[in-house]
Amino acid sequence: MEKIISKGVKSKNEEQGFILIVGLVIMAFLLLLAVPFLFQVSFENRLTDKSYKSSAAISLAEAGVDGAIWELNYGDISGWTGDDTERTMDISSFQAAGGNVIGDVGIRVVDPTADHPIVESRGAVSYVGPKEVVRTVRSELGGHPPFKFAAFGDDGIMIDQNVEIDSYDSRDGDYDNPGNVGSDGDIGTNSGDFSAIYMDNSADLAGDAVSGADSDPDSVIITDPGANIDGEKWALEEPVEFPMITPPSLPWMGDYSMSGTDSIFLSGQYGSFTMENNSVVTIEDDVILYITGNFYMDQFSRLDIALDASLQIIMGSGSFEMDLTSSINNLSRDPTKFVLFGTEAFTGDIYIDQGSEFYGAIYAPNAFVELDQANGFYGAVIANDILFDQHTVLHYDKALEDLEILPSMGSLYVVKSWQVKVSD
Amino acid sequence: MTPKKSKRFRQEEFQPKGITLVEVLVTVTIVSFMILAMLSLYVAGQRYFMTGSTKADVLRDNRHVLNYISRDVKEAIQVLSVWDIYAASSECLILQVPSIDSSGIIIDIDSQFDYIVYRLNSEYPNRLERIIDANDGISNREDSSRVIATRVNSFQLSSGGVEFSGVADFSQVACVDIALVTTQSLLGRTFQETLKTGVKLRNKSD
Repeated sequence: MEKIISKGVKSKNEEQGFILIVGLVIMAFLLLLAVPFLFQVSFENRLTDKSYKSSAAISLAEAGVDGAIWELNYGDISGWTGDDTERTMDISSFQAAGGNVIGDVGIRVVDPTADHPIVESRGAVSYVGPKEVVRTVRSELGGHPPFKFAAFGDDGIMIDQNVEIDSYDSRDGDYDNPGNVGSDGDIGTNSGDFSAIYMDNSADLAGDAVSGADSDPDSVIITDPGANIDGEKWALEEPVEFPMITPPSLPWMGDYSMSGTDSIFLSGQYGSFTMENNSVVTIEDDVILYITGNFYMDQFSRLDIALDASLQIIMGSGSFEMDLTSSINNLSRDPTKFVLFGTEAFTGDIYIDQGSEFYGAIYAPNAFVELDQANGFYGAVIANDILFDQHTVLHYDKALEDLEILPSMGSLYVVKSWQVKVSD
Repeated sequence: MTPKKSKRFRQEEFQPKGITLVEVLVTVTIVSFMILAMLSLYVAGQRYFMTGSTKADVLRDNRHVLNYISRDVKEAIQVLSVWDIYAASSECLILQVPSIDSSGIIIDIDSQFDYIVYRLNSEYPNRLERIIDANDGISNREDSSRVIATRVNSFQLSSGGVEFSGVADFSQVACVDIALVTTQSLLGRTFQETLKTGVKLRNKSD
């Protein structure tokens, strides 16, 4: 019995801890195998995390810029911190749709009431401890640049026989300068109606012809067998939007009537504007004439725009008429120096037929424009309907591409420049 | 006291001394099996990990390169068909971007430009290059040419579903679709990863 007890039951003092040592060795071995894995996984994880958070920070910053543009166009940022020189807004712990916190957004708008404000938006996503991944998007805003076409008729364009349309760039000198004539005299319409653009016999277009969104260009753009389009026919992907003009607030000048010679230095609002026979009016500075009634130039009258001056005429309503013997002379020969605007309420006719070259641009989205300019129309035309009379020559000035309708005149803010600044 | 002494004496007399050979052999065998099992697990795990890690590396590198290109495309004013000795193709992207000042701010988006070219190196077609032709003396960018990706299997450019080689008028390109395929070999296997992205030219005037 004692023998059995001594073999079968060992006292605590008799255990030698061998299995503990084996266990520790195995654990150490496993640890040795696992540690490099852990380091590698951690490193990969951090890289992936930073990449993800960098993208999230850029997205936050872009959303901030888009949000600011929306507020400037349709909302109101006067409640943001700051004044008219700079306004800021911070959004802390911006949440995604699922409720996950993405990060913080800080938006800064410099000169928020100006025509070219700057928007800077900073997206910050927390990374490790107090560290953040920060990305900043900076955008300069401006007005809508409408003159992308030589002629754009919202409802259509009729081009009579022997009309010529081409392009040049006044920044490279006169049209006659060698190499300055181009083939960017594009014409277009928002209409998808049959024959909305019609080119009669011997009409020559050095540019593309563009039909309304999702229309069939071959159905919308009809050419007489003798007409020629150097470029291509294609359809817009979406309608071209033309903002309506909001005249600026200008001092009231009453009705203007001139029978002799006069010079105008100041902008103003007029009930009507009449130039009688043989009168000569010279624009001597950068002038805006907002005319709420009729504009009329009688026989042999002349409206001169001095070399270093510019003129914008804004037709609020009424009519715009020029006698065949009258003329508007833009002495700088720079079409960007003379723009004839029509407001939404201006639905009248504009008829240009002068015995000399015409340098300027017409932006009257609800008006009918007829050009009878065998002597040359240098500029661009945007109207509801456009008629080119026989032998009219239109030289589209590509410099007009950069001419904006300023937000203060009714345009929405659009992005002029956009860039990402890396801040960390 | 006597009986206790007598009992202890008897227990010490029958206590086994050391470990028998059989026990050692059994232990060594068991431990060997365990180590072998762990090693095979480790090797399989390592292989699995390396595979996943390599795929992740390739994807991350691709994403990094695409982010790089995307940023330039977003800032571009327009895509050009030709610049200097470069001609746009399905494997060559030419961007006109606004020049920047020392603060990184755009100087004048209407008149001051730099040019950035992405193309596959003609001598080593598996290398993707980024070439900058800066507006000397005005822009803070500097002329440079450097490889931003190696092991490139394919770099394909298109816009609106039309490959760049078929684009008639690059001035109309408002969005660039980029597909980047890279390969990497590991443990006798070749890994190929494809990433695609579409980027809008944010500085292109409508």
